[in-house]
Amino acid sequence: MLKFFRMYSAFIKQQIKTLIEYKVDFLLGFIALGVSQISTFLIILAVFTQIKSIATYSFDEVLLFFGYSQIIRGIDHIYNDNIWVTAWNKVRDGSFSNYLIRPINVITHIIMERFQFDGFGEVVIGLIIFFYAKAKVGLVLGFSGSVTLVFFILCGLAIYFAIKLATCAVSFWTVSSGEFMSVIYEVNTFTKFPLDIYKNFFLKNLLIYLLPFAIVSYFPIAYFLRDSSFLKSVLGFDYHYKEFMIVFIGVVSALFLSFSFMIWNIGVKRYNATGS
Amino acid sequence: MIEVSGLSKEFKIYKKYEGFKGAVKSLFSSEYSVKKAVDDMNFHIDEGESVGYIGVNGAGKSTTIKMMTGILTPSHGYCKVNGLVPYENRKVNAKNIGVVFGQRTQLWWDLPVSESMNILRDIYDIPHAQFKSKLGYLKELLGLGEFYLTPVRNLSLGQKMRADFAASLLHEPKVLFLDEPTIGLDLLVKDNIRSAIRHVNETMKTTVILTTHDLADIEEICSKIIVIDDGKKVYEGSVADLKKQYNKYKLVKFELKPGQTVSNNSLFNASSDDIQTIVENDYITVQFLRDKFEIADIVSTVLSKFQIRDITIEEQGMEDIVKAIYQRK
Ligand SMILES: Nc1ncnc2c1ncn2[C@@H]1O[C@H](COP(=O)(O)OP(=O)(O)OP(=O)(O)O)[C@@H](O)[C@H]1O
Ligand SMILES: [Mg+2]
Repeated sequence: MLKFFRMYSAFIKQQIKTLIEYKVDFLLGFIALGVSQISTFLIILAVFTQIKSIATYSFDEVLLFFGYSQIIRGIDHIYNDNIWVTAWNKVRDGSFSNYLIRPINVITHIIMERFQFDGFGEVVIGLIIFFYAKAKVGLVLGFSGSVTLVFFILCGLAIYFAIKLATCAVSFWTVSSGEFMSVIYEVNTFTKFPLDIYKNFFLKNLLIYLLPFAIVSYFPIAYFLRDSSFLKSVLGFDYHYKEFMIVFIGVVSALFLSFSFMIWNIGVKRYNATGS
Repeated sequence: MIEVSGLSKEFKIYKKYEGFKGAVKSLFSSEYSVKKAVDDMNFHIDEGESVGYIGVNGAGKSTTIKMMTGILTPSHGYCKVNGLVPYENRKVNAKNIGVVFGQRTQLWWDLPVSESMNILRDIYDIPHAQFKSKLGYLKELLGLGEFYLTPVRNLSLGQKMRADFAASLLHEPKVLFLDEPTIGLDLLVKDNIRSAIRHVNETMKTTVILTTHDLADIEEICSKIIVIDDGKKVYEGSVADLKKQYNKYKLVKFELKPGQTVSNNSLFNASSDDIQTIVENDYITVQFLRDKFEIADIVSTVLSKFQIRDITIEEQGMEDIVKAIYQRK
């Protein structure tokens, strides 16, 4: 573990150096990201000047969803960015071979090779919105609430990770899966807002069971804002204790994680090392 | 040390049709052909041996190396390196082997050589003392000093190769796999890499397997040679034996002054295997067994009968023998 962080920090140090060398590039990237963050934020604002609430959620509550989902998306963006490069190119050009001749786990290797500073923009904006909304809503987490929240964040990261890993593994069959991965990944945009606004049965269940982005941000925040009756409205069955949600989220995350590892391992065996 | 048994690798190649219409057609058809890149390969390599693994383009050399290094999983058969099956015990096996692909660097593009080495130290868990002495030794051996702090993307091919080679040796691997390590290098760098390989093989008893198209690599480094063609082994033997074979013959080529006629068999009357004469335009070429004839006798015989403009003497090279093996099939 210590070893991992030493290697990771060596890569990070190097990237900071590169960032300093290419100041303009970094600044432009940062500005572009900021603009996209702000524009999403403005859309919410525009929607809410027309209507005061969405489904049963007030403006501040929607902000809470938005902020929370940005935090998780941002953390994922920071540490798990190299997998995009892997999906697009590494299998196609054969450089994936380089991972296979080292005595460390391939996924660990992929992760530590790249640290994406852009993600900090999302995290910072997410945090600001989250804490602002949290204060406005008057949500108090307390100790057990905070522990639960951390658990939810970890589950959310696991879901992102699993979806990216499984879609990346598709490239072992198709040579390159960057396109596929981004289509699937972009589905997460739906979950910046509470799931209740989607009346479509198909879409709703897709986001819960198939590409469980709903578990990333909707369920956790709804868990804090609502009582057990919300379970019925989204899962379709009644459950007296809303703590069931914690179990549900944990189990689905674990299932998805193991499923994606399985696909990945099958894929690696199929890897056919193109290029000389 | 290395055991290869019935090793085969098949690639499915899906049938493609030409043009845009063809692309659509390919999409809906699942016709494929099977390419046997490596076909029932068997050999055995002992500890400390240095083996040249050669064959024409597409013979299956790289594919074999990729299976022995754990990158590819074979379709049939197995290989064992140091008692381990590489593609099943990938991580443990990786500690025992060093790999260099001449076609592609394994160092990190954006990192200076120095940082790459530090990261490899952590990846391979190399103790600090060993790392320091090994690195010092390799820097000296391969002359890394002048570009040690340069990012890999800015290195020349030869510099990259030297850095890659050093990187593959840091953890003192028991087996070294080199896939075309001298491709595209200038004479000096080639020399440098060759003597480094030899040095490592001799002093550390590191087993070396290398593929190359430059037979001088084999002559200077290897003790054994395996020739493959179309995925199958076609020759295996010691380099010393091979050398004896081609050192048997010598070639003398005479250029005649114009206007003389030569009848073919009039020159030497010995059995045709021991000496052969080929007459072609204004040239006479004599190929003879070196331990049966004296070169001076051959030359004086020809000089006494003809007006000669020029004489060249050639040794038969390894290339000729290997070419013959390639062509024999
Ligand atoms: N990933 C792959 N998919 C399909 N066919 C492949 C693949 N890799 C190699 N082949 C085929 O297998 C055969 C052997 O290739 P390989 O790269 O092992 O040859 P090689 O002996 O290393 O040749 P060279 O001297 O040109 O490097 C070739 O016919 C090649 O087209
Ligand atoms: Mg090759």
